[in-house]
Amino acid sequence: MKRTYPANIDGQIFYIDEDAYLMLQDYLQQLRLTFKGTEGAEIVSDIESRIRELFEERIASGANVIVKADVTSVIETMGRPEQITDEVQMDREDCSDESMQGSRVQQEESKPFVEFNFPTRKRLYRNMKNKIFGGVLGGVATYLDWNANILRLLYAVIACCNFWVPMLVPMVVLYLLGWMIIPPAKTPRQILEMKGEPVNVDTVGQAFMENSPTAAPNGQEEEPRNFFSLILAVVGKVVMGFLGIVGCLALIGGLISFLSVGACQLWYHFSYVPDLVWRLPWHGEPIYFVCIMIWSLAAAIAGWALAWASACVLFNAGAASKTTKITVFIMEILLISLGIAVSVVAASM
Amino acid sequence: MNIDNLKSQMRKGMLEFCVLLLLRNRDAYASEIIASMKEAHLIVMEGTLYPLLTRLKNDGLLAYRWEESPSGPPRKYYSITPLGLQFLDQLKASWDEICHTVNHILLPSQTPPPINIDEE
Repeated sequence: MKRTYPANIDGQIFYIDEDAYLMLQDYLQQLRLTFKGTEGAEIVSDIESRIRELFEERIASGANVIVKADVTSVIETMGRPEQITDEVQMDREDCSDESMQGSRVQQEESKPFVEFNFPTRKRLYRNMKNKIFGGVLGGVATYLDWNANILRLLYAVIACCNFWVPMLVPMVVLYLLGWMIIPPAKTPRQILEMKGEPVNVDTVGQAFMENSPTAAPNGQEEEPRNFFSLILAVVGKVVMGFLGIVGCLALIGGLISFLSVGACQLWYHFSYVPDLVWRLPWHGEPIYFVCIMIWSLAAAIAGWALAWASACVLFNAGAASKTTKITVFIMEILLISLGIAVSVVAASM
Repeated sequence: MNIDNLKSQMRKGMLEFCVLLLLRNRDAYASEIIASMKEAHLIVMEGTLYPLLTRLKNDGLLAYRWEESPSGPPRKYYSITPLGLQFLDQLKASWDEICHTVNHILLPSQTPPPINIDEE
């Protein structure tokens, strides 16, 4: 089984296998590097439209997906960039003997196509093969070339410290933020980018192999499940369960508070029976109601997110989509800032 | 002296000439030109043609227009410009000359008349 990408080639959608896709991408990138400027852009786009035609022929003859062999044959038909320039650019003014020899030497030095590597920028991903909760610290450790367990221990120690405030809450929040924001390394390409290895046909193939369950046990990235990480995992699950319970309580409490205060406020405004209202400590100032409602809603949403996150870890529940996470995050930030603002106003009254 | 290199140099000199020749009587889009040139064993790598066309276009020897195609996106149809025709005449004269010279050496006894490409 292979992952396929839908790719738009000259306005036409093709489904392309991942390795074929990377190969084609490399090829077009090489063409772009070879043919520069506006003239070059035109050449490359013309070649791309020819590739589209060749693929269309392939699809017309019954193929559903463009595979690596198709891309190889296209590259053979079109020619590699150095072959094309070699055929064409001789009659420009640079065809004096010296530069001809120069270009030939250069060509001999240039590597064969498949080994062509682009410098790959190392990227931060969550390491899904070395994780306890979400792979955040595993990913950071991979990014920094550190040992993940040492980083985890360090993180846990800092979280247990008590400077001028208990560090547990900010560290947990920081972790959850990382979980939300940092994408997981799922595809072979992402795994390679996470390790900072070049992404090309060979390495992707290798990553495929390492990723498949049969070859996994000896993968380099897989750290031995020793006693230490087992303890960490157990402690982590307990902490996560605790956080889940806290989240559920916050959700329920927040909702109850939100609804009841809201009800009280309605009562205050629309009833002619002021008795109940005068028994409340805040004497029915609407801003206090609003303030409490905002904070209860903030607590409820935070609790819901926490409960869901722990459910994801403990019961393998489906994770929320990225959009949901970001929306909830923004809502929470807005609510908290609004709550602070309203509280400040209320306190100054 | 590398024989392949020499051969490819001989072919290279003719590429532009042949593209102009192909477009002399009718307009064509890149794939058609490629098909004709492959038929004539002029090019091996299809990609070769694109830099060539772009360069000829930028030098004012060719022009192109977009034309709807029965299937897929519009195609880029190339046509020869008056300047291109002028250029082609000069190239043809020079080609005749080369043919004449080579044939003269190749077959010293019977000097054939220069090949008239117009009637091909």
